[in-house]
Amino acid sequence: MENSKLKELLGVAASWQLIYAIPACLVAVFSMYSNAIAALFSLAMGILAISSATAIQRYKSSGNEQGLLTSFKHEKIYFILGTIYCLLISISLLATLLYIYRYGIEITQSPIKWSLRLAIDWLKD
Amino acid sequence: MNYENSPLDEDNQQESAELSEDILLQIPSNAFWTRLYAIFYLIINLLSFGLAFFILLQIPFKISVGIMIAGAAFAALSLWANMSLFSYSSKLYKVVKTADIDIFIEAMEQRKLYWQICVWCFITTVILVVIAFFFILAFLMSGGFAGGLR
Repeated sequence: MENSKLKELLGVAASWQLIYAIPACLVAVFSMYSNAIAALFSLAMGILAISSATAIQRYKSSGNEQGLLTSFKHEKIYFILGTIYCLLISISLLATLLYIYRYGIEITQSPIKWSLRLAIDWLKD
Repeated sequence: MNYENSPLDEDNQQESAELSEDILLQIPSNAFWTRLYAIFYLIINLLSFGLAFFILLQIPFKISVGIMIAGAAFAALSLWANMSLFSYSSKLYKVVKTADIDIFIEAMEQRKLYWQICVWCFITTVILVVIAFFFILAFLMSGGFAGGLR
């Protein structure tokens, strides 16, 4: 597959991908202490995005289609991880919403404690 | 004899600008996971808006306005990113059906747009965090949260 317009477009997309993924990885590393699970997901997704972008750039410079294929493969894993991550966040947000709906806001407690209290109260009910 | 712009050469270029078998085999699973990610991303967005609404209702008006402005920008951007992902996956599905390189290029344009919006979302998040930090700091220093927010 040889198409200069496509190569140019992919190159620009890869640059934006890198501009996003590199700082995102750094933020993930720095936020490891506060929320390790979320940070690990973000870090893994950031690394995959970087790897996907560099594979595209390899394709752009050499014309070897393997680069494009690798990029797609890494992008797929990025979206798989993203789906799991979003699922976990959705559960956490839902628990938080239910908690606030039932008890109001208590900023001194962590979401894990909120979820536990909510679960215990439900079991008691 | 110059063959550079001959019809034969154009035919060859047209022929080479086709999607290879490997790429076409890879695209369906990418389209599926992109679509699934977009759906969950939309759920997160909606839940976040719900949560933000609940919290903002219980915070004094002056503080909530600052956070709301940055929050609205972030919400608009993340919904836009979501729409671009949906469009990207739809175009990928179309590529699977047609194997048309023009649709593939359109899909790649959506992919570029997605990453561009991600960059702007990131910048907005940083601004949002900074604004929220200063507003909440000011609120705490003026004696807020003393009795909880109930």
